[in-house]
Amino acid sequence: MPIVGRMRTLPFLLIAVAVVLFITGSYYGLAVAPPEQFMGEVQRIMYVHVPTAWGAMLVLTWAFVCAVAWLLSEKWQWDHRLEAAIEMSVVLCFLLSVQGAIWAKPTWGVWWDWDPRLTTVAILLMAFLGIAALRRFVEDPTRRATWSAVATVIGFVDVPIVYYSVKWWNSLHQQQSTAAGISREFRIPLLLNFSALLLLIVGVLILRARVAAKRAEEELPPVEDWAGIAVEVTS
Amino acid sequence: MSGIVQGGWPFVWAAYIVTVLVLGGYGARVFVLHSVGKRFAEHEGP
Repeated sequence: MPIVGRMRTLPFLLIAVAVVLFITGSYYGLAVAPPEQFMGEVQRIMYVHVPTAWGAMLVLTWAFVCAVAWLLSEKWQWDHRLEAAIEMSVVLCFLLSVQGAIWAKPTWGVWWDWDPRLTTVAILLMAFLGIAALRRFVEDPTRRATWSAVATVIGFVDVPIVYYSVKWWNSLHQQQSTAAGISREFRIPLLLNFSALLLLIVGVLILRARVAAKRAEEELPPVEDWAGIAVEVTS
Repeated sequence: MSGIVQGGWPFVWAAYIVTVLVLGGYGARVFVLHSVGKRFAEHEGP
């Protein structure tokens, strides 16, 4: 198969592998791994909640990289990647908050608490929801790209605050988990589900960036270069 | 009170179902957007 054809099918392949890994990881996490000593069965929520948190942090960092790359280079492919990363950040922060609420009810006795970790994640969700809305309302492509890139850089300031919130303040939320610090029975489903989520994220980000590129082709008229030959502005 | 969280399977299932619905729903949306854009481009032609 030619390399272009392989690149076209790559996201679908990544998503298919992600589904297989998630089914395997979920089977292991729900049926094979033992319940945790103090949290009992509820601890199994960690097999989806922790990978979502790690995935969200990675996508938010990728959004920051895309935003800085656009501001420095003004190459349109960085704006397409930024659009995909912003949308995925909203989805993952929303999912993280809902999973956290489901875990908080049986363990803390409440669905929500104004805890530093929960509050800083909620701020992150609202910030990126706002940036996604901004992209919908600004019609001029260059302004849209620049404004959303600047807003992403500002919004990203909250990411290290989210990470260190459990260390800096007296938080109900437990400290960060690391794969090395937990026993093998718990580590296997955690890493399988994280691998699944990572592949899914990469596959969906590629597809979503292609959608953004396609829309840009319709928005941006081809510009004429100095020789009078129409050149593609979106690539 | 034993200090150990009792029961909890409904919460575990709820977390897994929400995860599958949110990620599956968003993935399906992106897939549809991608397919529609591709079909539109093929229909337009060079």
